[in-house]
Amino acid sequence: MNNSVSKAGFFDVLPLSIAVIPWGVLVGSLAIEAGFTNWQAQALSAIVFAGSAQIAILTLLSAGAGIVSQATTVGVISSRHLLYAAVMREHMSQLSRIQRLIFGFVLTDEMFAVAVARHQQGIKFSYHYCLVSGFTFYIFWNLATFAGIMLGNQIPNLDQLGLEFAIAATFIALTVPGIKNKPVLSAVLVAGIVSWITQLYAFTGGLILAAIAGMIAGYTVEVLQERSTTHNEGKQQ
Amino acid sequence: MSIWLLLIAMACITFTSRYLLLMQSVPIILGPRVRRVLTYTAPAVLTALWVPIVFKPSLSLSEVIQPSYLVAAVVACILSRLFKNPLIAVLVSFAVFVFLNHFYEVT
Repeated sequence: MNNSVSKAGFFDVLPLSIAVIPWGVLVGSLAIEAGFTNWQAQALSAIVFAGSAQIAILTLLSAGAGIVSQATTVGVISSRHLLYAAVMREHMSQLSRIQRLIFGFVLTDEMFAVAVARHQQGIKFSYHYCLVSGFTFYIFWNLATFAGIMLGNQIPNLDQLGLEFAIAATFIALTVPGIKNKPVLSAVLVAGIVSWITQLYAFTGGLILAAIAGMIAGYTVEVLQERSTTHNEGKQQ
Repeated sequence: MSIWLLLIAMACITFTSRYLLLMQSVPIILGPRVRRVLTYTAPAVLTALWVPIVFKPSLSLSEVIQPSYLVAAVVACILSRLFKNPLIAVLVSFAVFVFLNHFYEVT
């Protein structure tokens, strides 16, 4: 039984793991450029394991930002995981503390995305599935970082090749097929627009603000739709 | 040495954000309304992440709409709706992006 769940976990996250390779390479090479040793650059991916926070911190380091703004930025960028954990919380009641700690360590955008997609297909939550996809992604991420460390020493300006597009493509592939109704469409539009505007004004909390705005927009449209259908049904009777 | 401290601090912050609400001892009960809002987490967060990559935040239109990003993103949208496997959309659109980027630099 666990075998087929393992396979599903591995193959569902595989596309995302491959897509993240360019980004991992970028993180590895940026770390070297920022003055990290090879070990430190690898440890960044191995213990922090948070792509966008890693990129942000490396950019801040290169710009010479202070410790307070570094911590704030990492905190704000990571805060979206609070939302993921809130969603996953209902599945945690049967798990031990150790299991929850491990689950938390591999709770990334990608693992969350595949777990949610599976749940939407009506398949019951599986801790095992989440760990397999989480650690598969972890291994790819760290191998890609390793490649970046090796390449970063050789290819200058690796960060200017537009490798970050791969991650945009991944997230497009994860969100666009799910746009099947007006609430989701509204959530996506509002999140995208708010995110863009807050980035324009370089507002650090923009990501989480955009996410919450999008979520509330989706919920609001859902409620409005419900009301109008119950209203129409009332008319017909 | 300070880099190691930075790494540990970062690890603490990111791990806390992931683990905090998974903890049993955090006494939060999510009501039905919050749960319904949370069902939009994945599309909202992921979109907020990709939009500023594809459309560079800028007041100059030529920077916001860059052909290589725009075309490749449209390709990713279309392919992700056509094929169930996201890898096809990711690989093809990335190839389109690299090709256009190269082409753009040459011309």
